[in-house]
Amino acid sequence: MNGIDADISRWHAEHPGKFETWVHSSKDIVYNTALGIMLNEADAEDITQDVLLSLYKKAPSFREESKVSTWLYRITVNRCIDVQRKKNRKIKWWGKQDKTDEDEAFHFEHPGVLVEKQEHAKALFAALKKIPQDQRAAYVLHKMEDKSMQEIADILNRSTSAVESLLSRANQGLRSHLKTYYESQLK
Amino acid sequence: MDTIETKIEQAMHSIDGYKKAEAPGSLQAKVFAKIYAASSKSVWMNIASFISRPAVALGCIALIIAVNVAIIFSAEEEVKTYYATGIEDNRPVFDIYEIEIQEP
Repeated sequence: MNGIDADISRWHAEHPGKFETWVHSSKDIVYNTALGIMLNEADAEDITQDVLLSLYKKAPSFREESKVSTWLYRITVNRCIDVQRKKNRKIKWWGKQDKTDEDEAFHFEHPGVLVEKQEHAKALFAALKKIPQDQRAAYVLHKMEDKSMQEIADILNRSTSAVESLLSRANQGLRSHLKTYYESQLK
Repeated sequence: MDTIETKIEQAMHSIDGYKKAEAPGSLQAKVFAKIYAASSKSVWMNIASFISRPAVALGCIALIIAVNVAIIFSAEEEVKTYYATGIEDNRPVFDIYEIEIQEP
Protein backbone atom coordinates (compact mmCIF):
# COMPACT_ATOMS: atom_id res chain seq x y z
CA MET A 1 0.00 0.00 0.00
CA ASN A 2 1.59 3.32 -1.01
CA GLY A 3 1.46 6.61 0.94
CA ILE A 4 -1.62 8.02 -0.77
CA ASP A 5 -3.57 4.78 -0.31
CA ALA A 6 -2.55 4.72 3.34
CA ASP A 7 -3.81 8.31 3.78
CA ILE A 8 -7.13 7.38 2.17
CA SER A 9 -7.53 4.31 4.39
CA ARG A 10 -6.63 6.35 7.49
CA TRP A 11 -9.20 9.02 6.62
CA HIS A 12 -11.93 6.42 6.15
CA ALA A 13 -10.97 4.75 9.43
CA GLU A 14 -11.14 8.12 11.22
CA HIS A 15 -14.55 8.94 9.69
CA PRO A 16 -16.53 5.72 10.03
CA GLY A 17 -19.76 5.59 8.07
CA LYS A 18 -19.22 8.93 6.33
CA PHE A 19 -18.44 7.47 2.92
CA GLU A 20 -21.37 5.04 3.24
CA THR A 21 -23.66 8.02 3.93
CA TRP A 22 -22.29 9.85 0.90
CA VAL A 23 -22.79 6.80 -1.32
CA HIS A 24 -26.32 6.33 -0.05
CA SER A 25 -27.27 9.96 -0.67
CA SER A 26 -25.45 10.48 -3.97
CA LYS A 27 -25.76 7.22 -5.93
CA ASP A 28 -29.18 8.13 -7.34
CA ILE A 29 -28.07 11.67 -8.28
CA VAL A 30 -25.02 10.33 -10.14
CA TYR A 31 -26.99 7.53 -11.79
CA ASN A 32 -29.83 9.79 -12.96
CA THR A 33 -27.39 12.36 -14.39
CA ALA A 34 -25.34 9.70 -16.15
CA LEU A 35 -28.49 8.05 -17.50
CA GLY A 36 -29.73 11.38 -18.85
CA ILE A 37 -26.46 12.08 -20.65
CA MET A 38 -25.61 8.57 -21.84
CA LEU A 39 -29.20 7.33 -22.42
CA ASN A 40 -27.98 3.83 -21.72
CA GLU A 41 -28.51 1.97 -18.44
CA ALA A 42 -25.33 -0.15 -18.56
CA ASP A 43 -23.13 2.90 -19.22
CA ALA A 44 -24.89 4.86 -16.48
CA GLU A 45 -24.26 2.06 -13.98
CA ASP A 46 -20.56 1.76 -14.92
CA ILE A 47 -20.11 5.53 -14.68
CA THR A 48 -21.84 5.64 -11.28
CA GLN A 49 -19.47 2.98 -9.98
CA ASP A 50 -16.42 4.86 -11.30
CA VAL A 51 -17.60 8.16 -9.83
CA LEU A 52 -18.25 6.63 -6.41
CA LEU A 53 -14.82 5.00 -6.48
CA SER A 54 -13.32 8.42 -7.24
CA LEU A 55 -15.33 9.83 -4.34
CA TYR A 56 -13.77 7.21 -2.05
CA LYS A 57 -10.28 8.23 -3.17
CA LYS A 58 -10.94 11.97 -3.04
CA ALA A 59 -12.83 11.96 0.27
CA PRO A 60 -9.84 13.12 2.40
CA SER A 61 -9.39 16.22 0.24
CA PHE A 62 -12.94 17.56 0.79
CA ARG A 63 -12.74 20.37 3.29
CA GLU A 64 -16.25 21.69 2.68
CA GLU A 65 -19.15 19.26 2.57
CA SER A 66 -21.16 21.61 0.34
CA LYS A 67 -18.60 21.21 -2.45
CA VAL A 68 -19.15 17.43 -2.62
CA SER A 69 -22.38 17.71 -4.60
CA THR A 70 -20.89 20.11 -7.20
CA TRP A 71 -17.82 17.93 -7.46
CA LEU A 72 -19.98 14.81 -7.96
CA TYR A 73 -21.93 16.42 -10.78
CA ARG A 74 -18.73 17.70 -12.42
CA ILE A 75 -16.95 14.36 -12.25
CA THR A 76 -20.09 12.58 -13.55
CA VAL A 77 -20.38 14.91 -16.54
CA ASN A 78 -16.65 14.58 -17.31
CA ARG A 79 -16.79 10.80 -17.02
CA CYS A 80 -19.80 10.69 -19.37
CA ILE A 81 -17.91 12.83 -21.91
CA ASP A 82 -14.88 10.49 -21.65
CA VAL A 83 -16.99 7.36 -22.16
CA GLN A 84 -18.81 8.92 -25.12
CA ARG A 85 -15.49 9.99 -26.66
CA LYS A 86 -14.13 6.44 -26.30
CA LYS A 87 -17.28 5.05 -27.94
CA ASN A 88 -16.98 7.52 -30.83
CA ARG A 89 -13.30 6.61 -31.27
CA LYS A 90 -14.23 2.92 -31.37
CA ILE A 91 -16.80 3.58 -34.09
CA LYS A 92 -14.23 5.66 -36.03
CA TRP A 93 -11.63 2.87 -35.92
CA TRP A 94 -13.84 -0.20 -36.21
CA GLY A 95 -16.57 1.23 -38.42
CA LYS A 96 -20.29 1.55 -37.91
CA GLN A 97 -21.69 -1.06 -35.57
CA ASP A 98 -24.97 -2.97 -35.99
CA LYS A 99 -26.57 -0.96 -33.21
CA THR A 100 -25.42 2.64 -33.10
CA ASP A 101 -25.74 5.03 -30.17
CA GLU A 102 -28.55 6.86 -31.94
CA ASP A 103 -30.50 3.61 -32.43
CA GLU A 104 -29.99 2.83 -28.76
CA ALA A 105 -31.16 6.30 -27.78
CA PHE A 106 -34.28 5.89 -29.91
CA HIS A 107 -35.16 2.64 -28.17
CA PHE A 108 -34.26 4.01 -24.77
CA GLU A 109 -37.11 4.24 -22.30
CA HIS A 110 -36.44 6.34 -19.24
CA PRO A 111 -38.00 4.59 -16.24
CA GLY A 112 -39.30 7.89 -14.83
CA VAL A 113 -41.14 9.18 -17.89
CA LEU A 114 -44.94 8.83 -17.86
CA VAL A 115 -46.22 6.05 -20.13
CA GLU A 116 -48.40 8.39 -22.22
CA LYS A 117 -45.36 10.59 -22.91
CA GLN A 118 -42.93 7.75 -23.74
CA GLU A 119 -43.30 8.00 -27.53
CA HIS A 120 -42.46 11.71 -27.60
CA ALA A 121 -39.75 11.21 -24.98
CA LYS A 122 -38.10 8.59 -27.23
CA ALA A 123 -37.95 11.14 -30.05
CA LEU A 124 -36.54 13.72 -27.65
CA PHE A 125 -33.83 11.33 -26.37
CA ALA A 126 -32.87 10.43 -29.94
CA ALA A 127 -32.53 14.15 -30.71
CA LEU A 128 -30.61 14.67 -27.46
CA LYS A 129 -28.05 12.11 -28.60
CA LYS A 130 -27.41 14.17 -31.74
CA ILE A 131 -26.53 17.49 -30.10
CA PRO A 132 -22.98 18.26 -28.87
CA GLN A 133 -21.96 16.79 -25.51
CA ASP A 134 -21.58 20.09 -23.62
CA GLN A 135 -25.04 21.21 -24.74
CA ARG A 136 -26.48 17.84 -23.78
CA ALA A 137 -24.86 18.00 -20.33
CA ALA A 138 -26.22 21.51 -19.71
CA TYR A 139 -29.70 20.47 -20.91
CA VAL A 140 -29.77 17.37 -18.69
CA LEU A 141 -28.58 19.32 -15.64
CA HIS A 142 -31.24 21.97 -16.24
CA LYS A 143 -34.22 19.89 -17.30
CA MET A 144 -33.62 16.58 -15.53
CA GLU A 145 -31.69 17.63 -12.44
CA ASP A 146 -33.47 20.98 -11.95
CA LYS A 147 -30.20 22.87 -11.53
CA SER A 148 -30.10 26.66 -11.68
CA MET A 149 -27.92 28.55 -14.17
CA GLN A 150 -25.41 29.36 -11.43
CA GLU A 151 -25.19 25.72 -10.31
CA ILE A 152 -24.72 24.52 -13.90
CA ALA A 153 -22.05 27.20 -14.40
CA ASP A 154 -20.22 25.92 -11.29
CA ILE A 155 -20.50 22.31 -12.41
CA LEU A 156 -19.38 22.94 -15.99
CA ASN A 157 -16.82 25.54 -14.92
CA ARG A 158 -18.28 28.21 -17.20
CA SER A 159 -19.94 31.58 -16.82
CA THR A 160 -23.71 31.83 -16.45
CA SER A 161 -23.98 33.59 -19.81
CA ALA A 162 -22.07 30.72 -21.44
CA VAL A 163 -24.51 28.26 -19.85
CA GLU A 164 -27.48 30.30 -21.11
CA SER A 165 -25.98 30.20 -24.58
CA LEU A 166 -25.42 26.43 -24.32
CA LEU A 167 -29.03 25.86 -23.29
CA SER A 168 -30.36 28.10 -26.03
CA ARG A 169 -28.33 26.24 -28.67
CA ALA A 170 -29.39 22.89 -27.15
CA ASN A 171 -33.07 23.85 -27.46
CA GLN A 172 -32.58 25.03 -31.05
CA GLY A 173 -30.71 21.84 -31.95
CA LEU A 174 -33.32 19.62 -30.34
CA ARG A 175 -36.17 21.39 -32.15
CA SER A 176 -34.33 21.10 -35.46
CA HIS A 177 -33.67 17.35 -35.03
CA LEU A 178 -37.24 16.74 -33.87
CA LYS A 179 -38.58 18.59 -36.91
CA THR A 180 -36.47 16.41 -39.22
CA TYR A 181 -37.66 13.30 -37.40
CA TYR A 182 -41.38 14.14 -37.50
CA GLU A 183 -41.16 15.29 -41.14
CA SER A 184 -39.52 11.97 -42.10
CA GLN A 185 -42.39 10.15 -40.38
CA LEU A 186 -44.95 11.91 -42.56
CA LYS A 187 -43.30 10.74 -45.78
CA MET B 1 -54.29 15.41 -36.36
CA ASP B 2 -51.28 16.94 -34.64
CA THR B 3 -49.15 19.27 -36.67
CA ILE B 4 -45.35 18.92 -36.63
CA GLU B 5 -45.07 22.00 -34.42
CA THR B 6 -47.46 20.48 -31.88
CA LYS B 7 -45.51 17.22 -31.88
CA ILE B 8 -42.25 19.08 -31.34
CA GLU B 9 -43.77 20.94 -28.38
CA GLN B 10 -45.10 17.68 -26.95
CA ALA B 11 -41.66 16.08 -27.30
CA MET B 12 -39.93 19.08 -25.74
CA HIS B 13 -42.25 18.83 -22.72
CA SER B 14 -42.28 15.03 -22.54
CA ILE B 15 -39.85 14.92 -19.62
CA ASP B 16 -41.61 17.60 -17.59
CA GLY B 17 -42.56 16.19 -14.20
CA TYR B 18 -40.74 12.94 -14.80
CA LYS B 19 -39.56 10.83 -11.87
CA LYS B 20 -35.80 10.67 -11.35
CA ALA B 21 -34.25 7.27 -11.97
CA GLU B 22 -32.87 5.33 -9.02
CA ALA B 23 -29.62 3.40 -9.13
CA PRO B 24 -30.00 -0.40 -9.16
CA GLY B 25 -29.98 -1.95 -5.69
CA SER B 26 -26.88 -4.03 -6.41
CA LEU B 27 -24.80 -0.97 -7.29
CA GLN B 28 -23.84 -0.06 -3.72
CA ALA B 29 -22.59 -3.61 -3.04
CA LYS B 30 -20.60 -3.56 -6.30
CA VAL B 31 -18.93 -0.27 -5.32
CA PHE B 32 -17.91 -1.58 -1.90
CA ALA B 33 -16.63 -4.83 -3.47
CA LYS B 34 -14.48 -2.77 -5.87
CA ILE B 35 -13.12 -0.64 -3.02
CA TYR B 36 -12.24 -3.76 -1.05
CA ALA B 37 -10.54 -5.30 -4.10
CA ALA B 38 -8.60 -2.08 -4.78
CA SER B 39 -7.43 -1.68 -1.18
CA SER B 40 -6.28 -5.32 -0.90
CA LYS B 41 -4.20 -5.13 -4.08
CA SER B 42 -0.45 -5.57 -3.55
CA VAL B 43 2.23 -3.48 -5.27
CA TRP B 44 3.01 -6.38 -7.63
CA MET B 45 -0.64 -6.71 -8.59
CA ASN B 46 -0.72 -2.99 -9.38
CA ILE B 47 2.40 -3.36 -11.55
CA ALA B 48 0.95 -6.44 -13.27
CA SER B 49 -2.34 -4.71 -13.99
CA PHE B 50 -0.45 -1.68 -15.36
CA ILE B 51 1.71 -3.81 -17.67
CA SER B 52 -1.27 -5.84 -18.87
CA ARG B 53 -3.10 -2.74 -20.05
CA PRO B 54 -3.44 -3.03 -23.85
CA ALA B 55 -1.99 0.44 -24.44
CA VAL B 56 1.11 -0.30 -22.32
CA ALA B 57 1.63 -3.79 -23.77
CA LEU B 58 1.28 -2.56 -27.36
CA GLY B 59 3.55 0.41 -26.60
CA CYS B 60 6.28 -1.92 -25.29
CA ILE B 61 6.01 -4.15 -28.38
CA ALA B 62 6.21 -1.09 -30.67
CA LEU B 63 9.28 0.15 -28.77
CA ILE B 64 11.07 -3.22 -29.06
CA ILE B 65 10.31 -3.38 -32.80
CA ALA B 66 11.53 0.22 -33.26
CA VAL B 67 14.81 -0.53 -31.45
CA ASN B 68 15.33 -3.65 -33.58
CA VAL B 69 14.66 -1.75 -36.80
CA ALA B 70 17.03 1.02 -35.73
CA ILE B 71 19.80 -1.50 -34.97
CA ILE B 72 19.31 -3.29 -38.32
CA PHE B 73 19.40 -0.03 -40.28
CA SER B 74 22.43 1.32 -38.45
CA ALA B 75 24.30 -1.97 -39.11
CA GLU B 76 23.36 -1.79 -42.81
CA GLU B 77 24.62 1.79 -42.93
CA GLU B 78 27.96 0.69 -41.52
CA VAL B 79 28.32 -2.06 -44.12
CA LYS B 80 27.39 0.38 -46.93
CA THR B 81 29.97 2.91 -45.72
CA TYR B 82 32.61 0.20 -45.59
CA TYR B 83 32.02 -0.88 -49.20
CA ALA B 84 31.51 2.70 -50.46
CA THR B 85 34.89 3.92 -49.22
CA GLY B 86 36.68 0.85 -50.57
CA ILE B 87 39.15 1.08 -47.76
CA GLU B 88 40.36 -2.28 -46.73
CA ASP B 89 41.76 -2.95 -43.40
CA ASN B 90 45.42 -3.27 -44.32
CA ARG B 91 46.81 -3.14 -40.88
CA PRO B 92 49.38 -5.82 -40.21
CA VAL B 93 48.17 -8.80 -38.29
CA PHE B 94 50.32 -7.94 -35.34
CA ASP B 95 48.57 -4.54 -35.07
CA ILE B 96 45.14 -6.14 -35.02
CA TYR B 97 46.07 -8.63 -32.37
CA GLU B 98 48.32 -6.13 -30.63
CA ILE B 99 51.21 -8.53 -30.78
CA GLU B 100 54.35 -6.99 -29.54
CA ILE B 101 57.17 -7.21 -32.02
CA GLN B 102 60.05 -8.70 -30.28
CA GLU B 103 63.40 -7.49 -31.38
CA PRO B 104 65.71 -10.39 -32.16
